[in-house]
Amino acid sequence: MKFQVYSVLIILAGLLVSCEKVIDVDVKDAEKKYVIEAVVTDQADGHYVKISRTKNISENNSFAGISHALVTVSDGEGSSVLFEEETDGVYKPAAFAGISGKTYTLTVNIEGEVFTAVSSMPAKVLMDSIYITEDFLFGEMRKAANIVYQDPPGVRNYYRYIQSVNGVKYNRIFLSNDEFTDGNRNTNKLRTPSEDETLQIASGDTITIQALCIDKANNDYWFSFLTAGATGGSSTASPANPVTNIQGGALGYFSAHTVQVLEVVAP
Amino acid sequence: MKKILLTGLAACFIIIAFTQERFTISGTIKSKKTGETLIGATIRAGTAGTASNEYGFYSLTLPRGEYLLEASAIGLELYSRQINLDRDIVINLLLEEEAKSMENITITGTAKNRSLSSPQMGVEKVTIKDVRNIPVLLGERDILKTIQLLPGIKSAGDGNSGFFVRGGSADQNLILLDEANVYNASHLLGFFSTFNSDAIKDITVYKGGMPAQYGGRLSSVLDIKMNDGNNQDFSVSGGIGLISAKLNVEGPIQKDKASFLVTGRRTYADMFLKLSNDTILKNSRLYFYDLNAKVNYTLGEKDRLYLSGYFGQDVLNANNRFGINWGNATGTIRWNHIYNSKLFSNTSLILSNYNYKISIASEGTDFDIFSQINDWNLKHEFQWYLNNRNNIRIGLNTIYHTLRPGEVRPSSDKSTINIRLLQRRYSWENSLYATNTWKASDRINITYGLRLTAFSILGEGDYFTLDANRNVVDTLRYGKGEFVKTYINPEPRLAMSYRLGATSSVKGAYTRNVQNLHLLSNSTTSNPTDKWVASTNIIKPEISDMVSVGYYRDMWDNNYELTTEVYYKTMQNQIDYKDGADIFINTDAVETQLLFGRGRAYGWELQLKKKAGKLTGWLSYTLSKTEKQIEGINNNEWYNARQDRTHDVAVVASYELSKKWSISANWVFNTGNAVSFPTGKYLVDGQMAFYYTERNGYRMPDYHRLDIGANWILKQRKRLSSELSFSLYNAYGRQNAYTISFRESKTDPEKTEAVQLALFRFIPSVSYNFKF
Repeated sequence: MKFQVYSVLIILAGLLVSCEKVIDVDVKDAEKKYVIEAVVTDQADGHYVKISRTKNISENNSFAGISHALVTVSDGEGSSVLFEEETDGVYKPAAFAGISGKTYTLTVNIEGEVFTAVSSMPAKVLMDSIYITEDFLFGEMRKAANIVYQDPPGVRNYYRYIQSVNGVKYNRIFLSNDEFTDGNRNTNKLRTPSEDETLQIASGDTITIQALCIDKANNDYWFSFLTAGATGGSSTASPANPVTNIQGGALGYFSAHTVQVLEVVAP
Repeated sequence: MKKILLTGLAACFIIIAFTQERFTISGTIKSKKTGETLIGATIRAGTAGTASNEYGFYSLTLPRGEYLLEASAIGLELYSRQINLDRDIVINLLLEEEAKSMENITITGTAKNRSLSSPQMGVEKVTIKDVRNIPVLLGERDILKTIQLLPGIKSAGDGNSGFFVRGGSADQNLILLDEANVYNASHLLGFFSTFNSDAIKDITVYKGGMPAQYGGRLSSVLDIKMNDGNNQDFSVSGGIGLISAKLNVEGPIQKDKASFLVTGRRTYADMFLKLSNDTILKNSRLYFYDLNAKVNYTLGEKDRLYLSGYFGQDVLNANNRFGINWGNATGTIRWNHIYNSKLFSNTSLILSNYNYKISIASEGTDFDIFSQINDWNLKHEFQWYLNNRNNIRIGLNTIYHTLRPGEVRPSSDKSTINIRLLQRRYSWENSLYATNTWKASDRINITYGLRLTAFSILGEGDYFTLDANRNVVDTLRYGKGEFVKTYINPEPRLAMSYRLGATSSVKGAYTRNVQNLHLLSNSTTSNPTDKWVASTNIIKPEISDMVSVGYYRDMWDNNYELTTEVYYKTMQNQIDYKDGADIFINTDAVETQLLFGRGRAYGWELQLKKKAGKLTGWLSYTLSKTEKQIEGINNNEWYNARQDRTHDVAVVASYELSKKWSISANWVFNTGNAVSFPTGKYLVDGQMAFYYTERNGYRMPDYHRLDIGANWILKQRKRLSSELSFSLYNAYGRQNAYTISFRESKTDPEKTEAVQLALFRFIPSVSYNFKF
């Protein structure tokens, strides 16, 4: 919102000259932390646990995986699945599919340090359709994807969308929930303010949307990821790490969610 | 024993009273030219002296005898007259404009004594002349920007009208316009302030030691009083600047008895948008306007009525897809009554309102978000000029607050948004105060007083109990008008002055302030959507205690003034936000997002001011420290508050080159605000994320800036005067950091870079002002 207000202001006023420059900031080094990204879905594939570590700001941007961890996911009903390391720091199960309504527990043991997290896979809400519109967004006309669905009344639902254009994933978190739209036939517009022109939607592009139904803990994670400063922006006065559901002092999240894939070609 | 003592004391008083017959001179002091009452004018008779109150009333009680009565005020001629005091007399004083001979233009300021003997400290008076001379962004004269050049008052940064006083946050300033609370004093997201300086008569800032009649905020009081309107002649003045135009009309309704004033200002930059070929720009709006209006009526010798109002609105709309409107409205009805030569009363009924509305239109999810804070406020005050040694004020103040934290409504038939209304919050704030300014001896003056505040939270509404993790564990529902909780807080106020000689004095003060309305703002800049909340069963009243000591000296025939003060302040029940807090629109239980703790601030302020001559201005310096300790932040250790800055310097100068030309400049320097930077990075979902380990562990780069300006008087006649003002904001184009953000380097994706965004560089402006 703030961003939008400012972009509008700066465009309209035309007088307010702003300028950007890269500066040197001497940032202290911090103790390294483990980062765990864990996903289980209602599909036969798409499950993974990625383990890595934080780096100092001055270091390069190649993040090595953490190997030799013991990773399991249990469903609370006595069944437990072992995730085995497939590539460097990426762990996957042999055969697994999550079920809506079940609460899963992740356990990661890295050389004796144990991290746990709990996530409930929500009921799946099916998306009806997807279409492309052209709108005035962030100061110019842009194409954007719109997703239509019927929200189930009486329950709080949290949605997350992952958008790819011609198979290239957008690095952007799209979140939605029914706090103000409970029980309605809703349309979610995926606004894409990107400075990178290659990420614009053009006529003929194939747009793929993964629609996820996530639990509240993961909604809170991504909401705070976007607003609390993890993205490096500085509009918040008190930046903090996203609110994680992982116990034991690691960064990241564990999400048990449903997945539906939709596709459309932009007119 | 005690009884005997009291009787003895009473007897002494009676004896004194009978030995010397005393009479009172009282009246109202006004400008002869405009009929405006004069605030804080000095009235002297013999060795006794007093100052006129905020309505121009004065009262002096003296033994029978012959006196030379003298009255003076800044910019006006000294009035003097011989009087024979043998009964109570009423003398209404009219002061003439200072004769400014055309040949001699060196009289540009009056070397008038400031009141060294007044116990009041931590107070700053800003004249409209100061405001006029200071070069500002886009030529918009700005009261709030002017006071930020004073020691102890810090700017919240470029593009931000907020200010920090002695370590307080921006919401801890009580901003009053004709006694009405102004909740958001900024226009255009903080680039300009809401006050149109053309309509303003008096600006007083209390940084500490505020008298007991003020209360409700921890750090400061900015008391702004509007002109009453010329009751002698009609006058029209106005100006056209780069972004706005303004007009001021005032005049008598009935000469000497009643007058009116109307002042308006509107920005017109958006008018050019309509000329654009681009439909998006054509359909967008961005402007603000202000309207001040006032009428006053003298009902007789003893009564005077005032009705004043302010209305301001900002409108921002982007192609009808996104819009936000916000504004303040205030209204004040006041009735002055003079009971007798020693007893003056004022009764005010005040309405304050602030609201914003956000409109979003997007593919069937069209909706509005509305929020409002509304106050009905009644004040009744007596000023009792008991005798020459005691000047008493007693008053009561009752305010009914209604807060509407957030209301979401669909804005079209097709919209799939449901109505969602957060509960309204009601509260009733009652205060009683009494204060006496006591002239203990020729050298010692003491003001002591007490303000007692009872803040009652009223139903209807839900109030919550939280567990240690800030989750709601219990909800208590209260019915309409039911008392949820009442917080009673005494606020003692004490101030003393000791005159060292004719030209210097020392002062000391202790002040406690209590604040029951809190602004939640988790953003680095001020935002129209920042949320006001009242104290609840969980949010406790904020309390501050401050001790300050100062030394004051007038030098070189009163041409220079030296002021230095030190202060130490503690603050209780300070509010901060938990990690990932969402305060914009959430549940009714906003407390789940908050953390509480305490704060402390201390500092040294120095100001050297040159008041007279061709060159006038001041130099101010502040050395200070502000820290917070909040449970759940930085391992519960003390850390720098965001507004903590070590050094603050301001140099303000204005020089009269000739009869027609004057130039001015101001230069500011300050240490950067405390800020949180990430200390690590990692990948999440294939994108770069930053890792934070501590709050406010870093600093923004030092800020400095030079602004220059010039005034060119085109005409100065009795019928018409006009001038052109030029200014250059940020004259040497310093790129001051507005924000610093971190991202993957554009040139080398393997690296991370810090990017600084700077706003204004070399902003020139010209404006034309006239008066006839």
